[in-house]
Amino acid sequence: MASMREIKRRRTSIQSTQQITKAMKLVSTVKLQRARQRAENSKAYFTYMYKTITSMLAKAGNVDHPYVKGSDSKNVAIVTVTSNRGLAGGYNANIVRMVMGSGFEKENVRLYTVGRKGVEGLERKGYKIVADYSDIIEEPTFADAKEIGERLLSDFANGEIGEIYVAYTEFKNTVSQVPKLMKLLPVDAEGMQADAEELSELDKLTPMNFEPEEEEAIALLIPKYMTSILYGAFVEAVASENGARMQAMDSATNNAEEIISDLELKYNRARQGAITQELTEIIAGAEAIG
Amino acid sequence: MADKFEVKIISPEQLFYEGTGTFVEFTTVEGRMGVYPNHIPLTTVLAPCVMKVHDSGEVKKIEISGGFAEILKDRITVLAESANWK
Repeated sequence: MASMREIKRRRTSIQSTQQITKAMKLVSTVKLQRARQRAENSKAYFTYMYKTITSMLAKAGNVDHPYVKGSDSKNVAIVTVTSNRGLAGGYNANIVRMVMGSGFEKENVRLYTVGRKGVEGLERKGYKIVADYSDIIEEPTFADAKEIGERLLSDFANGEIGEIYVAYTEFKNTVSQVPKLMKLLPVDAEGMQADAEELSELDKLTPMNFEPEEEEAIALLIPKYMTSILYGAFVEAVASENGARMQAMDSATNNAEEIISDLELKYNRARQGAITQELTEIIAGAEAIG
Repeated sequence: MADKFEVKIISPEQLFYEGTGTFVEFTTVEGRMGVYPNHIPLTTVLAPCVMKVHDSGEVKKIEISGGFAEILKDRITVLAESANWK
């Protein structure tokens, strides 16, 4: 049996770990509330943006634009959105695993990383990282998303990449975050048409007009679409990160509690054992003299 | 002609403005434009401009840094990259 002192030392160490996890949980709870508020505020913009682009492409039919048709390059760009810090349960590992299991050839994948944990995880696996924007994930702004979007589009236009995906974690609710791989370019017009729209009868009958013409409008709107989808992915990922961390820290605190109570029991038993032993020794000593 | 339509201005940060209007002015990439209710359905790309929403004699001015607008018979929805009161 471990000595009393040893048990006591372990218990103290676990107690201080518990204090840390408890504090981290509280911090991420507060951060989560803020991040969730932000994600909710910006949701309207993205649903609308998505709806407009889809209905536009559905009506525009077969537009002969590289953004819709795709380019010849075999390379696939993936924007991976992870966090800069760990201790968030499976949050970062899920993204890394999803990129690895996406079925793309490692040589063809070009990574545009956001979040240091994704860089660490994927670089080790031999993926090629083209650009890293890890600093922005702490407080993502629309301008940051624009910068990344512009870089992606210029690489797309240069023929360096043929497809663009974004790997991020969708925020379902506080306890459920789902890693998601979403295709940004070329825009999948086929799959988008399925979205039924709730328009009034009259608006359904009259076709939508565009100014400037469809093709020109698409060329102008796709960069905006990219930016807003990226921004949406960032704010949602931040909410997910804090949700995941809150959950991980909650279960860590609970585990610590369990270990502490177990150690408490062991400590008391060891103390009792030591007292009994001492008593037997005293009695035996007294008997020997008497 | 007391016709009114719904005006919604959405920026990435928030639903910036929601209300009614009788006439809306803005600048598209093609030039300046004004829209009354019962306009034909139109999607247009906006240039950075000051948007004016006329609502029963009142004029609200909003700075917009690009985006696009979807105009339907009874409503106009503006997706602005950023929006501020002027």
